[in-house]
Amino acid sequence: MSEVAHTPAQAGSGPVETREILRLSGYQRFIHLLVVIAFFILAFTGIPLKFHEWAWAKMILSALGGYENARYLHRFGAILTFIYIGLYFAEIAYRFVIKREKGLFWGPDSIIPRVEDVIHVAQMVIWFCIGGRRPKIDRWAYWEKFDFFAEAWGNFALGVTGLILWFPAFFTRLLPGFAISMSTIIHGIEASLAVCFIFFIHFFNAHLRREKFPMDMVIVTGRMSMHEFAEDRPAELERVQKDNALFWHQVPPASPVLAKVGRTVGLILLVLGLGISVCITYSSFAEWIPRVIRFFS
Amino acid sequence: MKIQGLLYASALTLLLPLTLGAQEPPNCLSCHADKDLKKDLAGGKTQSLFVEQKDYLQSVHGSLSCTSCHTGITDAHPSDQPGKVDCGICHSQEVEAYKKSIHAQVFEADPATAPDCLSCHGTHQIQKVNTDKYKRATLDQCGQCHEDYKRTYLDTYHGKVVDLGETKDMPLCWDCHSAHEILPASDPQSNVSKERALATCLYCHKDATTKFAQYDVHSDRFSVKKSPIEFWTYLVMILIVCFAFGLWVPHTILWFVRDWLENRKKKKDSGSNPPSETGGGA
Repeated sequence: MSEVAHTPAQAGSGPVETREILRLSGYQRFIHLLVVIAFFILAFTGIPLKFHEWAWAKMILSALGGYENARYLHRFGAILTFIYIGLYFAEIAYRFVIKREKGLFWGPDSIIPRVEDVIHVAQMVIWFCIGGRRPKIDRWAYWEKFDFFAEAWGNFALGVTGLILWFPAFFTRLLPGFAISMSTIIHGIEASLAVCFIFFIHFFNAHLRREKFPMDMVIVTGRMSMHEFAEDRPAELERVQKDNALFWHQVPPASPVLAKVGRTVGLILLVLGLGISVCITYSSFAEWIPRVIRFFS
Repeated sequence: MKIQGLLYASALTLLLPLTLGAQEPPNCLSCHADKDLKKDLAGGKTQSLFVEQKDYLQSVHGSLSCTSCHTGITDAHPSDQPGKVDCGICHSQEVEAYKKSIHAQVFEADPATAPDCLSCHGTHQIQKVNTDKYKRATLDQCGQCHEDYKRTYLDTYHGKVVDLGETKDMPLCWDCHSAHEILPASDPQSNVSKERALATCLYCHKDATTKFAQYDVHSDRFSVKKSPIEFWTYLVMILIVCFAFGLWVPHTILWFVRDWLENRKKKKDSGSNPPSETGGGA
């Protein structure tokens, strides 16, 4: 799902040397911003409930001004989530039905996994073990595709169970009573998984690895330098150059103010996110290790 | 007028424990303030007869005299045998309700295995029951015997919120099971029986239906026998977590190590060839 600049004026202005590659449209970055806001609200108001026995959970709740605030904020975060899901599907529908964009659901520009992704996984593991050349990644790397579908699955599981827990009396008109106890279990574990996955795995893959450390600014500015593009997405560069389409991807750099604000906010969120994930991991292991020991003894 | 009356009334209630409470107890407390005062019981055990005056005066009964509850004390005290305290003198409704409960039946058979009034309310430090602190404490009290029910309650939304210290609008054990007339769920008269569960839920959940009331509040995710659905849900979720992290934790660690090795190699290369240019690529 490549985002191509649609007018030459937009694409070609500015001196050639400073032009950057546009990776994410303003609309896509706006949706990701909503995801970030909703995710942090939901994580910091919901996780303390699951880990209610722990002092850190009580500290987070008191920092938020008590359980009543957390309860309303959590529902606000849920509404925000449903809004961005709607906006996402609206864009896909617009691009598929009205603009008749090709390659939305298949091909190298699509987020849908392909055979190449399996090969890339194998090549990546070989690179981990013996070094040498990294796989030639195209528009979306396999870890980005996994992130996307993990997020989609998480939204589905948490959205459905969250609604059941929000309106238990309404949903048990249709569903049996155990839908409530099932939802409690699924919602809590899936939320812990989602938070730890985003802050440990997604943050490393996207921001903390060597080339991007400490933060990949593409999610704020939407842009990537030519050098970075060639290093990170060699297969896409090759493909674009073969089509003589590089010009259409190039834009002038983003405003430095935007980058500065994005970097500051991003780093604060990174520390907060890693902090709560460390708490979740610690508490989960502290709960589970005695259970496992009891089981085997 | 009204405000004046209120002021007088509140001043009086504030002063009552100081006047009434302070006047009489010294007679009793001249002995019972002694921390070592004991009574020998059968079987070589002893019972402390010490009363902490400060606690008593701060309790809801602080304005009452000792003999209001400890009736039957004669001039021969301490060699007389004062009878058991009867809470029913004042709280007849609660005592009557309690007498119908399963706790009363078990208590009659063996007092060591079931609670009476004192087990939950205490003796000389009885507090108001509608404070956050008392409500939270009752959970631990019920949990002393009903350990599994306390644990499974804490797995529910109700329990988690209560455990975070928020008891407003949140049900504790006795909101559903009733405080005094507790009956087993198998008894149709019980608040939590199949027949009456819905009425109990409706107390807070105004739009509850029959299916809603079939939700097993005390389902146990660790017991495949008691709650198979919750057990398997829990297990599947744990497996999903193991799957996700089983794939990605090694991936991330390997990537981190490879990055570190590449970084070191790059530094070594740039360090050995041009010694004049250092610190450029960090």
